[in-house]
Amino acid sequence: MMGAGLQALLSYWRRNPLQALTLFAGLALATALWSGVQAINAEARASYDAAARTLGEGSYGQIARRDGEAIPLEAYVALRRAGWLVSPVIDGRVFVEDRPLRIVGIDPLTAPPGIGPVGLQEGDLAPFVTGEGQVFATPETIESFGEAFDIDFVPAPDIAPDTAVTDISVAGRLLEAGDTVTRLIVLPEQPLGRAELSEIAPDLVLSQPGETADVAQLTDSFHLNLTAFGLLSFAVGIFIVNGAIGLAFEQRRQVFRTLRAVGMPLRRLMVLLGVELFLFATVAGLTGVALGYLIAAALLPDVAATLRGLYGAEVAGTLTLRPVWMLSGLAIAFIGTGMAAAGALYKLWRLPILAAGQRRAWALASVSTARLQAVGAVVLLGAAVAFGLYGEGLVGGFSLLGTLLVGAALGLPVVLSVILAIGARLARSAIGEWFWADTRQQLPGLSLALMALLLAMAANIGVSTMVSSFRLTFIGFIDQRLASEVYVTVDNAAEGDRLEAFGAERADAVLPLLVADAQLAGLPGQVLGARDHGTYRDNWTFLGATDAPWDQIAAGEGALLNEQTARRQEVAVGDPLTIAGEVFPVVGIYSDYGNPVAQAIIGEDVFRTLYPQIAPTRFGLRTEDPDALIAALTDEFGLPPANIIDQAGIKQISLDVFERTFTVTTALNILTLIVAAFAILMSLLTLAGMRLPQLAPVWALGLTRARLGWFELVRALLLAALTAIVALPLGLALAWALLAVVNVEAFGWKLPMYLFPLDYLRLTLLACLAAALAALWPARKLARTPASHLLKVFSNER
Amino acid sequence: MLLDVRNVTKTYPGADGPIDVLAGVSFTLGAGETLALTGESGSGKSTLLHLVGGLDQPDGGEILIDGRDITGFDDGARAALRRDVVGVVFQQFNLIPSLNVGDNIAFQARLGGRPDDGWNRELAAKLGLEAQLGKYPEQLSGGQQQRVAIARTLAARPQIVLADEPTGNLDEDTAEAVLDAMLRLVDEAGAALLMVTHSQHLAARMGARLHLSHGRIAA
Repeated sequence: MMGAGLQALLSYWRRNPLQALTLFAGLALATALWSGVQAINAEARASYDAAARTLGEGSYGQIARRDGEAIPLEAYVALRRAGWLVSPVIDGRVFVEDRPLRIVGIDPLTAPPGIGPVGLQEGDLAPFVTGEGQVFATPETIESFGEAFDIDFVPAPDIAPDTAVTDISVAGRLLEAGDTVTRLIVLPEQPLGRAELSEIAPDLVLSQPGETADVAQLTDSFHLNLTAFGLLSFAVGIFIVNGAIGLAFEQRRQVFRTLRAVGMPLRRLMVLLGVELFLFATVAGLTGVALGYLIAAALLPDVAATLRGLYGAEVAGTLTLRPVWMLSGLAIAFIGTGMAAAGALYKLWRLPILAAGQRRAWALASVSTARLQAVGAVVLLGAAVAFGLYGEGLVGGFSLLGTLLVGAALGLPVVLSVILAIGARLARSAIGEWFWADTRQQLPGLSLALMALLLAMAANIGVSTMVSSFRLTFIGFIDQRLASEVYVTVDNAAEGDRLEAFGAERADAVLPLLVADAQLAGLPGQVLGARDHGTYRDNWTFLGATDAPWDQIAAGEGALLNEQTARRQEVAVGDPLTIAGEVFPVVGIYSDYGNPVAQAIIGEDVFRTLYPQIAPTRFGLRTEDPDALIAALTDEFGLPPANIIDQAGIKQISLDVFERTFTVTTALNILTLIVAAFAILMSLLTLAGMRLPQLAPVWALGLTRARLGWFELVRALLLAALTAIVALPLGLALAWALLAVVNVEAFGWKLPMYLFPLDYLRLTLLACLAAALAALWPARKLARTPASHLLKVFSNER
Repeated sequence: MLLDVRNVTKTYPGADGPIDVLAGVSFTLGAGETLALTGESGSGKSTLLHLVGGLDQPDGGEILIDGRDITGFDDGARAALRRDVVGVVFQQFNLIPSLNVGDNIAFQARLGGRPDDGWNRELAAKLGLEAQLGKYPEQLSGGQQQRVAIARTLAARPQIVLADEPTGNLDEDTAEAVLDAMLRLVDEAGAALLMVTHSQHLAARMGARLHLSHGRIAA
């Protein structure tokens, strides 16, 4: 019985290959986008875990110098003698053709258990610590950097990407660290009665585990963003699947009735349908996971660049097949199929045995569904308002986004129905009336595809508004920050002094870029020393400041703090900020987009007092004739051209970094829009088969097939355009939520919102074009339908 | 002569080779005349009706309506013929589900640019549809739907009414009532009526009868 039943059910898909393709493709695409995002997240998390595991980041207390400089070896020795169980680490970067390789040197004899590569822990220490030593790195890192070093690389898959772990003496040699170490790892068990750190080395500071910047924690918000996008794409795909399954169930009502009439129990019929869905989910899920792998592999290099740019987190640029996301991809395919089929299965469970497959059953059923949808839309949009007003944190932000999007999607058919009813009322001709009324009648069949289009367009408008607002703000920001016409780098302090003297004569102003590493409000960061000059006073704007911040900075009586640090650590203007042991009042908070670390600015004089050892090697030069100044710097001063960069060049580099940062979101956006266009195509193709009985009478009454074809095309365009109109306010609401809520929580900066009407118009035209292209095939098919097929509508009635 | 069908042939492809559905059928129909087309299933009745209505094209012969041969008409001209000259009543009513009864009745006349609200109301009254004008087809019984289809056809004031088993889906009493109304209104409108039917009883109520068998006129 099972075999015969399954054959009867599956024969439907053989006779309706297009619907089978819709179901398969919808599920595969939904799974692909979801598992692609999960693959990226899994890869990134594996990188963070590797970093934490091999280097103890976030797991152990750490001692570093208050001013961020290296710790002299004597301080380490003094601590050990005083009973402190600490292990030295040398940590730095070397550049190979502009690509950074992080080199971490550890002392395996004093390091806590578990620190270092697995291979080292299991094997013999001798080769690691003696002779030329061993350097552990992933095979990918060795392939990228191996040839640049004449050392013994050992492959170790558990090391963080673009990182090499070696003995401290080897690292010291490679990084030219001399008699210094970068930091000290504090072992968890310490002897009692040892002297206080402040007594032994007052310039050192101890950070407890958890206080140090945990990369995984920092980047959580980014991955949450990515997951939200994956979920949105998945939802769009599930809309397609739901439509295909619902239609297939509706069209097979007579088959179900017959199967039950000939003796198949309802329970067994449900099992058979479950088996059928399982087969679809398995095949489509596996295809989706494979597609997801390709998507992730294509996007991962850009994600890695984004994470490096935003958070300074290193993530492998290549993808590894991980069972976690493969299984999660398959699971989501099964969950998605179950979600999409739940309604149809429930209906079947409740279906009386003799209920015939009525011709308009689908449309009639949709009346009650429409009511439910309308109620759902009102409830969810109400919840969105509540989240907007009272929601807090990232969870509140995403709840706002979720309720807003789903509520609007549910409300779309109701809104469209009202608009079409008004259109019908205003129509003057018989064809016009029929067109509006017929379009309204098509809504139930098309509503899922239109909801998918609405979500895709709103996401597109929202994200592009956010990115474009960010870009506009960022361009203004780098104009403000990169005011000098020429930037130069010199090799040492003496050359820096010579440049100051040269610039005093040849440039309008010389602005040294003084930078020191420091702990700021508990976060690792940098302190900048600013010269008192109109360049800063005239160009910089603040999010909040005292009346004369630059006067206070020049007098050494205040500090400026970047926005993300102020938000994360809840520091406001007027609050104290400790820099290198000195306390400064915060006199201004400035935007600092794209900077992953904390940053503060103090006056040049006070900077030189606090950091006497730091001499500037980078300078900004003001001039009205950059070309002449550049020529003078190369010809007269003798600087190599590689050490000089003009303003346009540095701005371009910054913009390039910015654009790459948003490549992933743009790509996901486009993919979602493609999925939505596909949903429309499949819905129209599916409906085309059901349309003949509706269109044949109109044809018989005197409308040509060509004209009917045109109407189909115009109908798709009209619905796409109306959906676009609804998508615009929704997309702008989404942009607001992203800019004012999610970004603040995720990245630490709030951005002004700008509107881009031309972009929205372009997107609307693109959506209409996609809808027209999707409708072209079914419309052409209708226009060329042989009269005999239309006549069958009348003949089949007997 | 309003309708002059001359030696019309039509062949359809079949599994065992071409099937001659119509093998040289000729007849005429004048204004105000009624003609029943009878015959067994597959005898070509509906095909003949479709050809006269410009819904399909013959393989051979001529179909002259008001002296014009419609067999050479292109798609647009045949659509215009259906809008302006003929009106078809189908067995399954084929109303437009998205329009209410009033709009369905007015539809063809408005399509042909001949709207006449007074005539529509009169037809609705004569067919007992006044109370149903705001309803949608799915809310009507089969008999009511067929009366709407007849009203729609007659509202356009066609010269020829083509009816394909118009009462085939109705019970006997309803069929009788619907046919009464149709014959009366066709007569009042002065139109010609060509009706396909299996029923000898209904055929007997028409002015003349043509029996088709295997694609030829048998009597």
